Amino acid sequence: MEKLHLFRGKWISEANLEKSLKELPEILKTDLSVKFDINSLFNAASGLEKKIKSGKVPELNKSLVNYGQTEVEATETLNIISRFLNIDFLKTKYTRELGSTEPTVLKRISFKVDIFEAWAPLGVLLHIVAGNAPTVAPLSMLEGMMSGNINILKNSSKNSNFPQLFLKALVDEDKSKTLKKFVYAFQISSKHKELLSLLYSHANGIAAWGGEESIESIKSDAPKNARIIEWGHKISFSYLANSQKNNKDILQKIAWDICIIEQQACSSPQCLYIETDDKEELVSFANEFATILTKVSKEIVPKTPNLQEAAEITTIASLVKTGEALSESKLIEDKNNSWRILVDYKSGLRPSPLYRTIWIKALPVNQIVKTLEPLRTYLQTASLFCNINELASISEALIQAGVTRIMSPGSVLDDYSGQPHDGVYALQRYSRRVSLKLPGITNNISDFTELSTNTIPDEIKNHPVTTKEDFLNREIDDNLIFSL
Amino acid sequence: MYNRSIVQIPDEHCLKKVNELCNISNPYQSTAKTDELFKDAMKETILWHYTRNGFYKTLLDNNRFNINSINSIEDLYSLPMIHANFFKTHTTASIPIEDIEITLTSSGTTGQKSQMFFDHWSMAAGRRMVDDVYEYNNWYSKTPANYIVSNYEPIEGLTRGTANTSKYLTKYAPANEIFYLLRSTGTNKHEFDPFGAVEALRRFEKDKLPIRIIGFPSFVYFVIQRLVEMKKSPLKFHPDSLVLFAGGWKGYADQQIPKNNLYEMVHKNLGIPIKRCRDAYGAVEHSVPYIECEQHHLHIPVWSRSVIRDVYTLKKLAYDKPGFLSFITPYITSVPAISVLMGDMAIMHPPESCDCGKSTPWFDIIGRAGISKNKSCAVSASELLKKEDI
Repeated sequence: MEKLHLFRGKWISEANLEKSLKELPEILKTDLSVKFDINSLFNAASGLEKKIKSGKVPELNKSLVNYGQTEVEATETLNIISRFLNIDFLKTKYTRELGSTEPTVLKRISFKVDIFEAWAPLGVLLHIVAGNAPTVAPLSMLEGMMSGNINILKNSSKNSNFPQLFLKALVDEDKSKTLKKFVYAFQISSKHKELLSLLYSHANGIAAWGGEESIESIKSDAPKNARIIEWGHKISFSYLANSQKNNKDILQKIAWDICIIEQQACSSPQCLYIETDDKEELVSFANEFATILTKVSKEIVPKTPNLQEAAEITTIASLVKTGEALSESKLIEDKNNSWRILVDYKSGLRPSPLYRTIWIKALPVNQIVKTLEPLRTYLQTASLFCNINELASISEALIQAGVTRIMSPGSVLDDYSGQPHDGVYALQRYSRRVSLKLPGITNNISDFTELSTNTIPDEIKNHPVTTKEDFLNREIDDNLIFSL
Repeated sequence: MYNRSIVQIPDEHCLKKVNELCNISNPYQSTAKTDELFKDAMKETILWHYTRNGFYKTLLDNNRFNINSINSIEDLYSLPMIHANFFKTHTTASIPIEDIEITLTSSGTTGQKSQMFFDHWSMAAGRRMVDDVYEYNNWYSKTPANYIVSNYEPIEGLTRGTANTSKYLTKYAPANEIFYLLRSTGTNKHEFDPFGAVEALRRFEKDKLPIRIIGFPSFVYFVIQRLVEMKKSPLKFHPDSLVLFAGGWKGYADQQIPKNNLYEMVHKNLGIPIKRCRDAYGAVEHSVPYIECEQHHLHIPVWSRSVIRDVYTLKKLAYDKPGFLSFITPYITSVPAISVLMGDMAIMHPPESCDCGKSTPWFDIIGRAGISKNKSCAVSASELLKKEDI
């Protein structure tokens, strides 16, 4: 059986797909009453993390290679994912995004008032992913689980079945056997409207990944009252303070951001702004940067653009070259055509055709907000370098302009646990904030764990009680103190 | 019946060969002599723009282009090209403003509009080429025809190139009635009118006159679809009826069906012979008309030359390889659009691969060039076209 469809954590065949989807409403009605157990996610995630790190899930590597990644890239993809599976990463993410590792417990918002609040899942969360990044589907599904939702993935065939294999491996690690109730994944072509409408009809929330057109079409198919969580395409750029224009180390890092992964990430810079309003300074900077780009580009093995992508690069380069005759732009190209710099004397931000193609433009700090206004809602990362005395004014201007993430040159692809994504916390967007105000009844409790009828989990049940003596004799764990 | 118009060239001395080339009325004439004439005409037009347009002069100088290096048609392919998109964002003219007779904009598939200036000669010489192709195909007719024009109903101030062309195309057979598919609402807007179109077709059928359907294929397709859905087809039109598609699918590329399927559909539902269904290719930025032969191939006429270029290097490609479509033509005097790189990808085929007998190569359009979508998670140019601050 081709492993394409995962139904409540189990493989189903293409032949059974329609039948199973028709049974889905009844199953969901029952499963919506099942409370998601965060600990079973922690345990399953840890289990899978260990397996991935010790190379015990070769079929994940294999499917990434089928998707088109090299062995090295496949390992890198799995590294990104296994980092996410790490229990400390997950805990930090919970704490940063939902306030604690027990976000669904109703807690007083203040001890002065009888008001309780908590996070609760949306219910059924449908994830629709584009075929451009194999990590998106697994991570979006993980975030959906962290928020306690029943998750349904509509995978793109372009991702191969990597996301399904990953999810199956995850639920298989769950000894409590409860996680599977929260995991469905399908690979259904957009042409099968009827099957898709079955998926859509149950969604309380839809995590929509992709370009504007795909998100528009998702919106038109979605139930009218479903929350649409849009993860649209973004644009990023670099901003270099004038004081740093000769900082070779930083220029090299910017060049690295341009060359690594061919600018395919939304955080990769498409334009390098330099703080100046002087045309000559801009051109001499661009020539300087060309030398650095030549050097850095040689160190990173290039990927060849496909026909359409090459056509786009050639088109833009041709227009910039023609613009030279009107003194409005300048094309600087690598001899081997491995990179190109598009110097443009107009400051407006424009998308680059990627593959080591960078606009270089002038932009004084006081023009930042005005210049970036047309793309305000598309802005994501600005990689910035400046002196500390310039930092406040520049970062403020970037944020005022709509930038949601400021990173160091050379680190635009990095992230940290709990980092907001495109200006929001994903876990919050995948959840409802609920409140309870029943002053007559709740007078004597501080939070709802006091009312919990849950039995003590197995791993705690058998743990001996720590006496005062034991406690005092414990060795001091530096790591523990640090993490507090 | 065909009286070829006489058009006055701006300068009979400087543009003698250009005039001579444009005076050839057989659209598909191709001999060593026409090649020689074409080359000489190009040299005249290069000089014309070089000496009258500062931008063009700088462009050639920047590229170290030397007019004396042109000794054959092949040499012309080294003439610097201007991408059609350049004209969408820049205005440049090689003639005094008072000589501009008409300013046309392109129909703006992707939100940008071209602005092209035409002097009397550039407009009229271009139109005469269309006349010549019509005459070549025996499409001039004295019998009145009913027209379905798949384009904007003319209103005051409409400058779209395709609307202009479509209107022009109604002159080859006297119009009994013209029905526009994109009708004016009276408030400077246009709306697609499929119901009106179905009614018009049924009325025209009763007239027993030939019909001529001209313009965007997309709306014609939608009308026939509606006709079928309303169970009002098949209709049967006069065998001398003619369908000439031009202008592409516009904003409806996602619903586009293959050209041959559309011809089949027209034939089945309107009874018009497939041989009398033709497609045309043209652009405001390069106004030479390319009209399909009866084998449905777009042949290069005597007034232009075309090569397909490698998308990575822009080098000329051999026959049967996909790449950028590019054109060379000497006739435009108003704007230096004499060597243009188009935003379309195409494949060029040798003359002998078509059974129609014409001795010029022909091309197949295979799609837009360089509109890559959603490959990365970075926002793409095509998503931002409308928002660009340019």
